[in-house]
Amino acid sequence: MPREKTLRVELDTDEVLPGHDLKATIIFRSRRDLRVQKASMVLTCYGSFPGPPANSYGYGGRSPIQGTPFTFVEHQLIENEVLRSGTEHVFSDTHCP
Amino acid sequence: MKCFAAERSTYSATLTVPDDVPPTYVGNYVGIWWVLETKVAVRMARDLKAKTAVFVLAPFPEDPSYLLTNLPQQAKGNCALEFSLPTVVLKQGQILEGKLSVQAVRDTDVRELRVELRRVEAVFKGPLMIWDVVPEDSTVLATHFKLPGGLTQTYDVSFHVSSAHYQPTVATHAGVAFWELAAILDHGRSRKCSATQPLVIYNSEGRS
Repeated sequence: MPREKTLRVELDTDEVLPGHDLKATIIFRSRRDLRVQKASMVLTCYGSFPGPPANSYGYGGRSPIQGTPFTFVEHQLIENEVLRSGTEHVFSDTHCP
Repeated sequence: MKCFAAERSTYSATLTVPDDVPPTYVGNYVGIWWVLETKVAVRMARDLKAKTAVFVLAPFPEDPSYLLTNLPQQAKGNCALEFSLPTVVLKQGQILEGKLSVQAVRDTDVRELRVELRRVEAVFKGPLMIWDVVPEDSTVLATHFKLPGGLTQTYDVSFHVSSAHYQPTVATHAGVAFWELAAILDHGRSRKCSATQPLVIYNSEGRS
């Protein structure tokens, strides 16, 4: 039994240079009418700097930050609303032949 | 009869990746990765979410000297090891070619002279910098020879800068990851003679 609604995102290319555009296609499938309040995309950079394990002198050791959003890039997060916030978009209904 | 014909709605979106952001880096102790998170909020139903990996490339650096001045360059021991390279800025996948000159103050019995291409991953933790060296390739240039004092000997050096992973030079406030060329002269004493030359590695041509 297929899912009632699915979301898939396809990128023109998954490699991009800083300062360049990232083009995405959002494919939304539904078997029913659904009211979409908002659709948004956020590009986030995560950083993990655990460092090597502590050495025999006790120096070093893994830092607790693992996979947390990278703070200085967090200020540069991008949000691109595919459907404007507050706008209600009604997806087309099924049509029985 | 209920109808379940497949429906499909397609939207396009364009995001601009900011300038001056760290590229994707897949290392042992330093990791930087980018994720495009899509969320569709549906009234009276569970939201839909999707995560897509994005690989941000490191372009040819406009000002490599800025990076290089912040990377450590070391020389240890009672001899002079010096690299002569046409460039220290290379693209992953390129061949690094150059020369190494070796000079000892006095006659030295050398057990081994080798050159390593390696990645250094350093994490800033308070006033400490905790670092680790990941060897990528190594070449033994000569073994068991006498190096006359004051005489300079020159050796060819050649390495392939692997393009297998996303591992460009990265400098952030939390840590750095860079490549370096290291020469190690082992003369059988406790302290070996060594020298390093940091390299700036990128993985994509310019910004055009």
